[in-house]
Parts: sequence; C-alpha cells; structure tokens
Amino acid sequence: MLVERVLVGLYLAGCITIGIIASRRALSSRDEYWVAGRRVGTAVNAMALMASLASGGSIIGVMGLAYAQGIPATLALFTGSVVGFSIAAFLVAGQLRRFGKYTITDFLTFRYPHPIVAYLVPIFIVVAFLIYIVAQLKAAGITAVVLLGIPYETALVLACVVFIAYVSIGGMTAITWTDVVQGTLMLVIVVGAAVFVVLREGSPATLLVQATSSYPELGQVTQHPVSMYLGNFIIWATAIPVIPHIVMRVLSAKDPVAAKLSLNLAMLAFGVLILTAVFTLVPLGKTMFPGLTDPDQVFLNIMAELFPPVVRGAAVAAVLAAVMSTTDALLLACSSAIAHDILGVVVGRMSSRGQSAVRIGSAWGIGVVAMFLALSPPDLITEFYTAGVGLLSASLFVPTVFGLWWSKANLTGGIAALVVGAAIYVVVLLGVVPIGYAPIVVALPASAIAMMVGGILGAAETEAMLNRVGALHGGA
Amino acid sequence: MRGAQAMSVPSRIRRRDLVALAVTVLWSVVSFLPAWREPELGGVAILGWMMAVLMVLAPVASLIALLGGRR
Repeated sequence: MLVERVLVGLYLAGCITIGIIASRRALSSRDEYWVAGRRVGTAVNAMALMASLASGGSIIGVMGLAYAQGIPATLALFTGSVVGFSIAAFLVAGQLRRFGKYTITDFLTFRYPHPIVAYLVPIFIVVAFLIYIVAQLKAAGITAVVLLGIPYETALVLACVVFIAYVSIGGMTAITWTDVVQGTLMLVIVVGAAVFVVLREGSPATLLVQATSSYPELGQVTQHPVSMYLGNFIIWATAIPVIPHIVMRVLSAKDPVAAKLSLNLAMLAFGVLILTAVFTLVPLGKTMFPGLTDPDQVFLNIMAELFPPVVRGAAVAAVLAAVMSTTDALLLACSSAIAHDILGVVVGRMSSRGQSAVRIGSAWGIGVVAMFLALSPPDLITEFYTAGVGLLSASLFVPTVFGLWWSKANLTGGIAALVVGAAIYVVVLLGVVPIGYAPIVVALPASAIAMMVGGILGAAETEAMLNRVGALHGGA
Repeated sequence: MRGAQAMSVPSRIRRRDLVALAVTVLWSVVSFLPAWREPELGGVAILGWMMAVLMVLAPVASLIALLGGRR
C-alpha cells in the first residue's frame, strides 16, 4: 500500500502548504479570515460550495445509504439539498450578501436583537456541527482502514491535525483554495470510476436491472415510513439556505449575483456527483458485495476490488478531500460561532494578534473535541449528521426567511420561532412524544406558527428596521 | 411604508424567479404523492425517478431564471 500512502501523504502536505500560504493574508483581518475578503469569483465559489456540501457523506455516505435503505430514500435526502440551493438562491443569497457581515448569527441578531438569539443560535450551531464533524471523521477513518491499512485512530488523528492546522491559520482563504482542489478531485474520481465501471460491466440501466432483480429492496420505498423520506428531504431543503458553512460561502462571494450564480452551478455539479454514484456504483456494489455489515464501505470495496494502487490512492485522497472540504468549512463556521458570535464583543477589544489567537484556539478546541467523539463513531453517517442539521433547519429557517420577507416578523415572533422549532424538533427526535412523523415535519410548521402568532400579537417592528431590511432586497 | 412594501414575496421577487421556485416546489410536492411509491420503472420506484429528475430540474430552472433575468 506504499503508492496509496505516498499519494495521500502528498495530498495532506499540499493542504498544509496552502494553509501556510493563505495565512499571510487570512490573519491580517476579520474580513480575510471569515469571508476571504469577499472577492471570491463565481466559478471558484461554485466549486468550493459543491465541495463544502459534498462531504464524506456524499461519497461514502450516499452509497452506504443507498446500499442499505434503497435508491428512493437516498435521493429523497440528497435532492432536498439541491432544492435547498434553489430556495437559497431565490430567497436569501442576494439579501445576505448585501447584508455584508460574517455569519448567519450576525443577521439573526440584527433582525431580532436579543441575548436569547445572540447566544442560542451559536450554541445550536456548535452542537449540530459537532455531530456533523464527527460523522465526517468516521468517513476519513474507515477509508484509511480499508484502503491504506492503517488503524482507525491513527487516521483520525492525522486527518484532524491536518485540517485543523490549515483552517486555523488559513481561514476562509485556505478553505476556498483547498475546496476547489478537493471538489475537482471528488468529481474526477467518482465520475471517472463510474465511466470505468460502465465500460467494464455494462450500462447503468443494465447494472440497475441486474441489482434490483436480485435485491428488489434497492429500488423500493419500503425501508422507512414515508414521512421519514419527506422529513430528510425537508431538512436539507430548508437547511441549505441557513446552514452556516453555506451562508459563509454566500457572504464570501464578490457580489450578490455571483452568490446566486455560484449556488446554482454548485448544485448542478452536486447533482452530477450524486446521480453518478447512485445509478452506477451502488447497483454494482450491491451485486458484488451483497452482505456488507457496514454499508458505508461499499465504495471503498469497489475501489479495492476493481482498481490499481494509483487509482486507489487517488480514491483515498478523494474521500479525504470530501471529508476535509466539508469539515474545514464546518470547523470554520463552528469556530466563528465561538470566536465571533459568542466572544465577539470581548475579542473585538483585543489586539490583532490576540484576535488571531482566539480564532486559532477555537478552531483547535472544536476540532479536538470532535476527534475524541469520533473515536466511538455512529452507524450510517448520513442519517446521523442529517439529524444534527435538522436542529438548525428547525430553528433557523423560519426566523431567517420570514425575517427577510414578512413585514410582520418581529422580535417576539423571531424568538418564538427559534425556540419552538428547536424544542419540538428535539422532543420528537428523542421520542419523548411519539407522534409517528419525522421531527422536522412537525417542528418546521410549529416554528412558522410561532412566528405568525408572535408577529401578530407582539409589538410591531419599527419603520427603521423594515427600511433596513427592505434595503437588503436591492434590485432583488 | 417603503420597508413594509419591500418585504412581501409577491411584490419583490422577480416573476422569473417566482416561476422557477414554483416549478421546483410543485415538482417536489407531486413527487411525494402516495401514487408514486409502489409503481416501479427499471426496478426503481417512481418516487426515486421523480427525485432524480428534480435533482437536475431545480438547478436548470434556477439558472434559466437567473441568466434570463440578467439578459
């Protein structure tokens, strides 16, 4: 496995180098560190957005989920993300870019200025993203076990040290550069592997018919209550417009049009990645390896079985790229929730060097906690982190979208929507109140109702606030 | 008054955007109708195919709206 290890070593060294080069610019100001100076062009931002979303979950997890729970369930979940990009492009991207701050918390505390919002939102972000990061780290670990033959724990520590290092010193600039490389690598490996499989084994239609003839559950809607399919779809469709690492990418675009366009191009690339994996590699994997105890290993088994060492090495790098391109963005967003959202007032009074130290320290703190949690990883990573993202969707979607588009949205409604959405999501998710529906299917309408009741019964928003929000719509 | 007027979806969102968003949402709603859960095509439930089409339809509709609007 020497070739694979050398390739992966080169890849990790490249990431660190990018972080060091980017650090000169990134550590010079808040704008450079959190949003790459707001000058990222459309094509670069689109690839970086795609890479940020296409996580270990989108390479390892999408195939594991399709293998275990069937193609319809998997596409319901991942198509939700694509629809979410559409909603984001139309309803929030231009407005948030015009707002011109750093995080989703910045917008929500501007729209609903209250300590509950200022502290609860970053706490939700840290909780949800820790879950998300742990799931990504599992993908890195099992990849290294299967394709590099190194222990899970060693791989975990190595991957963590590398991505925390380049995120903590290189900020959004380093993430943007590494994400472009990582996104390209992911597309080339997944699409390239699919083309190779088609040339060798037959067309996607042949592979699909073969697999579903022997394993009909692959194509059926049988695995979950349908409300779970709908729930996963809604979680991602409503999370994308407000999920912090995507919002920070929107804020780093050079202008509102570039922000919208890059979202659309990113979802096209993401769609190609997912559809290629689901309709080519999954049917082959189901036929070749029908009894996998860990479904998340199906892609790795295909690579190990069919491809030579150089391609396997590139595949490990691609999975690590998928993991790291999302995890680095999550880590930066998580770090911003602490260093910018919660400690912002204190940090603002510090010297430039002190501010940099807090940013770097918070990135390392979050990363190390996630690494320890990942030592006991969950099953089926995609479902695990989708549950975490659901918390953000349930709590942030309604306050954000209503806050931009509904003139009666006010402080009472904003706080009510935030708290009610989160509380009901958690209560239903934990089974405290067994209602037989996916948590988000209940939590999101409850959040919207809380917003409307608060908006109607609470004090009306000031004219000044409405004018400031109205100005965010620009030329729409 | 200007702010209040600015914050209503129908009055502010461009017609093209509204149409693209409506197409995407409508396709999503139709995809989850119970009628598509049992029938299969090529071994995959119609729900799965509807989702696959939506994965392409949503970005294409958005791009058409955005680029058409810019021209």
